[in-house]
Amino acid sequence: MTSDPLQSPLQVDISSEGRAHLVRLSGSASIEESEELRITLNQLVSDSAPNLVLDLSGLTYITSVGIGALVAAHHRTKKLSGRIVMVNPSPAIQRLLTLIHIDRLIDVFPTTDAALAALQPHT
Amino acid sequence: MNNVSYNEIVVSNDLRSAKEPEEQILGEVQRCGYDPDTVFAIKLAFEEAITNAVKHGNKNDRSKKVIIRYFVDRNRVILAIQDQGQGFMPEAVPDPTLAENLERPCGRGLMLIRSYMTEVRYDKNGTEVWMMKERPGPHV
Repeated sequence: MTSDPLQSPLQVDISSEGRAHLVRLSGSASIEESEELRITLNQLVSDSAPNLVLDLSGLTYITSVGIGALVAAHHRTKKLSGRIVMVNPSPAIQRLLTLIHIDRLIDVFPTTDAALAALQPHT
Repeated sequence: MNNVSYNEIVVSNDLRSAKEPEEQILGEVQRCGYDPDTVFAIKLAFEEAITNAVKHGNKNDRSKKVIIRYFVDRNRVILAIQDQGQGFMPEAVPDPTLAENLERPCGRGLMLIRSYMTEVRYDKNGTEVWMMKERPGPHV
């Protein structure tokens, strides 16, 4: 069943871009993995890097528990005067985000570059 | 929809115990040739209902059980997930899409179930969610 995109394990790849962490999610965020995702995102956000860019282009599945992890990360970044943004979700994931209006809480950008540019302080 | 013969699986009250029944059900759904979007919808509704049963219905009590009943044919998939809790009133759950509720962790699972399944109802004083997904397009 590993070739089934809905069953492939969640992979979380993290890199740094200045005051932001770039988090690339790929595979399926089942309920148990979503609990781990919540902890990972929470630990990533810090005073020195309060921004998160979530690249969702490889994400094939997510539940309300996973959405809850994103909202918790939103709270955490806001508390540290940072921001969380999402990048390029698939049509299936975009539909889910739109249904529960999470895209009104966390902005969605078409590319990572556009997301990182939006996180730059205004001059 | 009482004229169908349900399969029944009883699992202990934890999310991991529901993985095997989920794989069994999704395997039958895929063998019946449902499209990927429908498989996505059924997987999502199943996992949301199991999460609600384990966490909210049975309140993480490991001594309680979750009863899974299902029916799959080429025209429809029916899932019924029952917990052993006190039940609830779905209409009392706040609308998670209202601006004041967007950041609150409640109601998203119920809303997703309603959005992705063709028909949903709550039976047995709210301890069972019954949900049905019709095959998109003409029935075979």
